[in-house]
Amino acid sequence: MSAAPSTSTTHCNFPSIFDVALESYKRKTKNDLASHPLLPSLQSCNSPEAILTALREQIPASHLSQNHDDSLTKWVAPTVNVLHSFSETIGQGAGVVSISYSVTNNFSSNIYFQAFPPAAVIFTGIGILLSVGILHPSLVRPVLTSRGPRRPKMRALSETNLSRSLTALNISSAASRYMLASHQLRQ
Amino acid sequence: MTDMIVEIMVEVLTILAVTTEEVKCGRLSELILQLFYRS
Repeated sequence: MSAAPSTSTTHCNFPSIFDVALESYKRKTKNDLASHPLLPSLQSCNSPEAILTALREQIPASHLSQNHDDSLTKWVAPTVNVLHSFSETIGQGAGVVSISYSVTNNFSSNIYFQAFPPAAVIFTGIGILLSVGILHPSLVRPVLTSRGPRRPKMRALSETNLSRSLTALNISSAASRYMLASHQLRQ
Repeated sequence: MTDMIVEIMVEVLTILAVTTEEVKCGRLSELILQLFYRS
């Protein structure tokens, strides 16, 4: 019972914090995760394996390479595993967020409420990332390779930023695993 | 603990947004460069 106040505070802040993050995502990528068609199928997945299978289907056939499964396992699988652990850790009560969004511009007063686990929303974001070609061979090759004198610098810069983002994602996963492990040790 | 998890999830979402935006821009610029250098 002593943990109740802290949990209820989190429940109050959680929707607003996540709402801001979703709005930021929508502004950057022009994709609305709350209404994305991939979300319902990911919500029905009960295990990291099922989620990875659903995400694997998002990779365009033209982007498939021999190493795409390795790339998927290398950075998507750890992230999915950690997020799935998070969902289980924070429980069903904290894992469900009510997010309001307007369905049409003409009827802005029509606000619909949909409840869904935030982890499923993030999995949807990963699915979108896979669908835009994150595992395309031209993007997963090493950043510092010799490309000849006519290769423009803009592309190398773009790949460096991409590499940095993926590294940040992996670091985030590693930090999350460490945090979960230390929490379990404390208990 | 839950607060930290929420913060991490928000961070992951932010990273996904940046990466998705970056990939989209990268693919677009690559297409433009390919069209430019092909001729």
